[in-house]
Amino acid sequence: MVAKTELTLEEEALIKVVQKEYIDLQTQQQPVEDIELAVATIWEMMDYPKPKVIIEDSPISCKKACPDTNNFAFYWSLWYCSYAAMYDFANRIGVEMDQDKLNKFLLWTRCCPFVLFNEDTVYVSRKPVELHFDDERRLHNEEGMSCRFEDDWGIWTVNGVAVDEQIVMKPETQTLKQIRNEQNEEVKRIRIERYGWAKYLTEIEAVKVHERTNDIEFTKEFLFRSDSDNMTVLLCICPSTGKEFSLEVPPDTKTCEAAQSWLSSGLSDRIISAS
Amino acid sequence: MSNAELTVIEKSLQELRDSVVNSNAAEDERIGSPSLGDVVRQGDLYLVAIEKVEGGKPTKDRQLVEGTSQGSRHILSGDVEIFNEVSFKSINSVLMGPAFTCKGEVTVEHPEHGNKILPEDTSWQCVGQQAYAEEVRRVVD
Repeated sequence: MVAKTELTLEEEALIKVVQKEYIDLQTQQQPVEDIELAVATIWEMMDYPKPKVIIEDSPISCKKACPDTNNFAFYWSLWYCSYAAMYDFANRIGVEMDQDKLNKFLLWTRCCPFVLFNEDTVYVSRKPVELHFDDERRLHNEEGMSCRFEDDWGIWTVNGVAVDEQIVMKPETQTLKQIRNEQNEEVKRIRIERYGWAKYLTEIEAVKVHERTNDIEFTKEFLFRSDSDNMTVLLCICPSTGKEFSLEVPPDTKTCEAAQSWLSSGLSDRIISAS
Repeated sequence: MSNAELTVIEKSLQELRDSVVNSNAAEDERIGSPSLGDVVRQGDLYLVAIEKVEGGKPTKDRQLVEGTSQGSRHILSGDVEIFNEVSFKSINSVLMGPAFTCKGEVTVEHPEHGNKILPEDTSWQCVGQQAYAEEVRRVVD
């Protein structure tokens, strides 16, 4: 491989072109003959005979169609599309590499996002039919799946955070127990945001017991207390992202300073920089 | 709960939002000359300036918080020696992250909270934010 250490303006501009091509490619279904060729090519590289190729609408359809998943392995080639884009870009600006191997790799990543396979049979998932992103190009959809396959299997994501259908489509049906038991703080934040902060704090019958301006972050902080749930919550906001957080602290916490001290294991008094 | 109290909650939330002077201010910040015990907070990760790393097991893993979420991507770049399985004060081991020594200027990168640039010849202990539960556990974002 010949190294290239500087880009021309045209080459820099090409980065966004290739990026868009590859993102668009993620929902472009490929011809059956290309999919079969991609599989046959890789099997040939491994010295295996040409396998039977079965194309399904989604990874879950592949699993359903497979009679014995215990004896099949799976592989997400989807993850390698970013590498494919990088190598493709490098190739287009003149970086020399093994063209035959590159072409095989690009064909594989273009055609086979997910495979379930043994030596003789390969189930290949087609690509999603819908992808939705937020402004930062993270998977995101507040009105449906962020990634949907033809058979309506897919994933639910809010700003890149994986959630479930209920949180996206019927957030008002969440129970307080579901929200409280959520282990992932980012998911919990999304749960409460979609449920509604005011509604959440109202339903746990929280009252404000303390407030202050954080001297390091210059943001407001509020401490709410719900006697009925014996729950004390610090309501604060991240100064760099603007995300609101409700952080449960020990019930006997009286002030925002004490809450921050508990959250930080006593380190908050020595903070010199926060973001 | 009465409407008056609901208004207090809504008003508090609005005050909270208004207090963010410059949201999305995820800019690089250079940490000057920290004193021992000073703390740099990057999201839910606290970096405590320590005299030196004692004990521990060397690691090449530059991600300071386990996980694959965006929130967990606190990643070191630069000339740095990293150690796992260190103990620090009386902090619960569940909250403890790696400790590291900056052999040159080292950046703690994060896609949302901005990068922290730490000076050469300083050592730091990572501590995670505590989450309230029956048992001690670490905030997961």
